Amino acid sequence: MGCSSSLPDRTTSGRLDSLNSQVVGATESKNARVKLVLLGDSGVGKSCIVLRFVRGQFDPNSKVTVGASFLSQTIALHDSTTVKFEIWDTAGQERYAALAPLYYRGAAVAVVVYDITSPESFDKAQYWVKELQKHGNPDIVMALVGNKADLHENRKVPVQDGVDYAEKNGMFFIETSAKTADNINELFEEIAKRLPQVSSS
Amino acid sequence: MVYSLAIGFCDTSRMLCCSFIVSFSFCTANSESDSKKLQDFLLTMESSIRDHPLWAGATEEEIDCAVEGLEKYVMTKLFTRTFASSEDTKVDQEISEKICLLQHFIKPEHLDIPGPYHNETSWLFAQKELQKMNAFKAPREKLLCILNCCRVINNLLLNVAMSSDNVPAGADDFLPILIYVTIKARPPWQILLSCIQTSNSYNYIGGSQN
Repeated sequence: MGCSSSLPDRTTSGRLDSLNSQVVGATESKNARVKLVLLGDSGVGKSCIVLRFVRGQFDPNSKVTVGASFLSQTIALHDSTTVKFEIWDTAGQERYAALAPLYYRGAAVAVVVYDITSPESFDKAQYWVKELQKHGNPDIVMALVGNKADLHENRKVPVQDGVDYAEKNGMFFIETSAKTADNINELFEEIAKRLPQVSSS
Repeated sequence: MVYSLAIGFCDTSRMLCCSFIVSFSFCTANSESDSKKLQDFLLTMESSIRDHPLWAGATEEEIDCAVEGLEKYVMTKLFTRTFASSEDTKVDQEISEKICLLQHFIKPEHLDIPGPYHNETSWLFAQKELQKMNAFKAPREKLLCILNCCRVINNLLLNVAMSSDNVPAGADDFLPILIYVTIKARPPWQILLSCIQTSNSYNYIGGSQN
C-alpha cells in the first residue's frame, strides 16, 4: 500500500508485455506476474485482506495514494522465485454481480472470501465458486478464505464446513484475520506455490 | 556534427512515421490488425532509437518517453481512422441516450453508495476529470483522464476512512461511486465506448493502471 508499491512500474509496463499479460503474464525465468481477483459478499473484508497483505510489508503509516481496488505486490519464495500479484478487488453487492466476469476474465488466481460469522456470506462464496467453475479460466487457482477468524466467539460457519467444501472443489482453504494479520502472508505464499508456472519452473 | 546527426535522425523518423500513417490509411479498418501494426511499428522505432548514436546515453525512461511521445503523435494523426468507426458511433449514440435518461432520476441510493461518501463537490470534480477525455485524441491521454477521475474518488474514500476510523474502502465503495460519476458526467459523451474499445484494442489497460 505504500507509495512505492502503487507507483506505475515503468520497467514492466511497456508495450511489449501488455500483449501477453492476459492469463499468466510474462514468466521470465523465475519471475511470474499474475492477475488475482477477489470475490465475495460485501463486508467480508476483501479489501482489508489485500491492504493487510500489501501494506504489511511497508510502513503502516504510509499514505494511501491509490485506492484498494487495484493494487500490486511482489513476494519472493524460498527458491528465489518472485511472484508479482496484480490484485483486483470486486464490488460484492448483489447488484454488481453481473460485472464480475469482467474482472475474473484472464485471472490466474481467484480468492473467494467469506466471513466466518456469516452463513449467508458462506453461501455467497459457494455461488462464486460455481460461477468460476462454469465461466472462469479452467486452470484458475482457487482459494477459499474464511476471514474474521479473530471473532471466533461469534463463529457461525464451522472450520470443517470450509475444509470439506474446499476439498470437494479442489481448492486451497485457509482461515485468516485481516485485523490481526493472521495467516495473511501464508495465504499468498501458498497461492504462489500452487501456480503452475511457478511450480514447473 | 551532433546537429547534422540529429537532423538526419529526425528526417529518417519523419519519413518512417509519414509512410506508416499513409500506409495505415490505405488499408481497411480492423482494430485487431491495426493494433498489431501499431505495436510492430513502435517496436521497430524503438529499436532504431536504441541503435542510434544520438540516443546512446539515454536511460530506459528517456527511451520510453520518446516512444510514448511517438505513439501519441501517431495516434493523434490517425484519430479519425482508429476512433469511432460507424458501428461504434451507433452504439455510443445508444449508450449516450440511455445515460441521458438515467441522469435525471438516478440517486446515490440507487447504487448502494454509503452515506459518508455523499460528497457532491468531490463527485463534481471527478466528473470534470472524466469530461476532459473528449478533449484529447491519443488513447493514453484519454486513459489518463479516467485514471485522474479514479484518483479523485480514491481521495474521497481515503478521507472518509481517515476521518471516521472506518475500515479501509475497497471496490465495494469505489465502483458505485465511479458508476454514479460516469452517469452524471454530462454529455457530450458520444465516444465513451469508442474510447474504451480503442484503449482495449491498443493494449493500454494491461500496462498502465497501477
